[in-house]
Amino acid sequence: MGRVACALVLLALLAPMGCGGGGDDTAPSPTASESGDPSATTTRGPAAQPSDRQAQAWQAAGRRACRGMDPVEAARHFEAPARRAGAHQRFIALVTEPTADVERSPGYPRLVAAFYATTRPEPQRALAAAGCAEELAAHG
Amino acid sequence: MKHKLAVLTVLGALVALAVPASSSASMYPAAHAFEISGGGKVGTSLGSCLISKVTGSTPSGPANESAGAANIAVPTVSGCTAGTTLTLGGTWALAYSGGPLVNLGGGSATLTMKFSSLPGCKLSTSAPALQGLWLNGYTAPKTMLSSFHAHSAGSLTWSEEGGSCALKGKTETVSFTAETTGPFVVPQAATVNDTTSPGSLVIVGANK
Repeated sequence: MGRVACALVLLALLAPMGCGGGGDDTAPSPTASESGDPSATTTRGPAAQPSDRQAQAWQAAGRRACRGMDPVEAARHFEAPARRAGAHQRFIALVTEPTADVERSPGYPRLVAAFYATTRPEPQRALAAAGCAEELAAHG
Repeated sequence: MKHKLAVLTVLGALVALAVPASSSASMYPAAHAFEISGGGKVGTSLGSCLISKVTGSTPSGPANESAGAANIAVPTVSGCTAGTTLTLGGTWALAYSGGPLVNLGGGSATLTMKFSSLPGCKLSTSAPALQGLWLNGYTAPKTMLSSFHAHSAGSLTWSEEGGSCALKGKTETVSFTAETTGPFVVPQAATVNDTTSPGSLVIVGANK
């Protein structure tokens, strides 16, 4: 009986290990290619939409994070956190050491905002980026 | 005379070593359908997507004996991180690229990624090259099926998508990595299943 109990405990401990340890949240969703469509596309699938209050809070957090900085300052400010969050070296360089045409582009504040958003949890990124971009565009 | 003959023999041997016997590749068995269950994760700084299934078939005989590429269906994308979209299109191929390497993609394939955190931009290529290690496997003393291990992806280019994109024209290398599973987070090779004759190996390699 003791052996059975031990086996059950071991099974309970080991069961979660087979569920993927990468930490990447990739919920399966139907794809176009499976239905014979010539192209395959996917998004995350039916992810839960944030409530209005949550959405406002995430956007406001983005505004606060980027307040008082111009886009170049913000890019450098978020370099270390973005690196820790796993941003690729080339992308970091493109954002934090912008060429003249990148820095002059009207899209640069949005780029820096997306860079900042890599430091936020995934569900918050789009809204956090939008809030940050508003603030950077106003300052720049 | 003997001395000249010896020199010529050595020179001939050197030339034989320097020139490969054949630069063509082969795929076996001929005209067998295969399925790679789990291709790898295409990753960028802004988000990633999983290519979960690749299906195709080896060329018919005798072309398979000198074929370096197999047609494959547009790979299946099964999931992306929030706000990320991966769109694959065109005609895809699996092509031998030397040593143990193969490329998924090719000149007639397309790959596009978009991110909700960066509206106005898309990251794309008209000739994706998702590179992986192809391991042929073996049947003795026991069977270990052929497998594919995602290794790297080529460069993608930023362009505008309905708005101003600061990175327009800049290139960026994305990652293509094997899924990690289990308690030790070891990257896993994906099994290549011969769906015409389950249990058979799918052999890709250089001709000699």
